[in-house]
Amino acid sequence: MMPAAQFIPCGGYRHVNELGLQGWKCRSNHATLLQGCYMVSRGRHQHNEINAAFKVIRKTRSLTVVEIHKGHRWGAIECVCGGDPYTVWCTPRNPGNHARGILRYVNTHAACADSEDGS
Amino acid sequence: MISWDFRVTLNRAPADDEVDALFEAGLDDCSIAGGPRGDVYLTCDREAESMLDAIASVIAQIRTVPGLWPVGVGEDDGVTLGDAARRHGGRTQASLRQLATGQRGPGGFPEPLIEADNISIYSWAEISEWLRTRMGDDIPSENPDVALADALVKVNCRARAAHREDGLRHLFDSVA
Ligand SMILES: [Zn+2]
Repeated sequence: MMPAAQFIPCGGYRHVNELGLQGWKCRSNHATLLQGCYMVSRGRHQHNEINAAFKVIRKTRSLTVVEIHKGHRWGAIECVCGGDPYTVWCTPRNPGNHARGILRYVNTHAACADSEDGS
Repeated sequence: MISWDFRVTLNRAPADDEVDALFEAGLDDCSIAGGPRGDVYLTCDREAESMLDAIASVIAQIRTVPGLWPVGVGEDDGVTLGDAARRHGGRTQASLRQLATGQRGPGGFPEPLIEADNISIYSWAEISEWLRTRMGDDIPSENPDVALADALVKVNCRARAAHREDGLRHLFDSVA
């Protein structure tokens, strides 16, 4: 059953809740019961800038893209060094900045595979 | 309004529910990440009138999540040419692009560290050093606002450890 009160069309982002029901989630949290991401397809984020950054991750030996789809997290970028992962939001305020953040994480962790091998 | 770019180091890694709480506090313009040495930080792009306002608003939102607080403020070395132009203050992104492609200037602009389809990340340390030595640009070695915020956050951490936060606030009010 889809409680109508949860769906307030206020120009937010398209979301799918755990039951697969589509609705709108706005910045002012009108629909806080709706959690989860609008899934494009496995391994792909809805923003292409972020997918472009994932391509770099997939070429970096020390890093892995992990899909979570829970709460506001689309997933995470994990490093073999065990440092705290980079949280990939479903709906970052600025996808370009979020993609740049991923590339910064690559830069910070690019050498981790080498130091793991060396130890 | 300008989007200010800085990094706030946290006292510890947030748990899963705290990650969502940080997002809902308004930090959807920040990313949570950690370094290889165990530090955990938010990289932020916050629109505000000034860098200090931007840092203050991010810290206020972090503090809405009980148990999390800032332990340092800094800048990330990885920048796009747009970020570099904002940090520089005296050159446009177009001007930096011309220097990077060799259309203008002596050539030898630092190479990007990382390139994706449409974003290139350069080292700010390398770019700023190149602009100082090759172009004679006057660029301070650190952003004075970021350095001030970092100093204040660190003093507050010392006061917290010594249970002197109220005392520090009174002292700050009388000094400032
Ligand atoms: Zn690492």
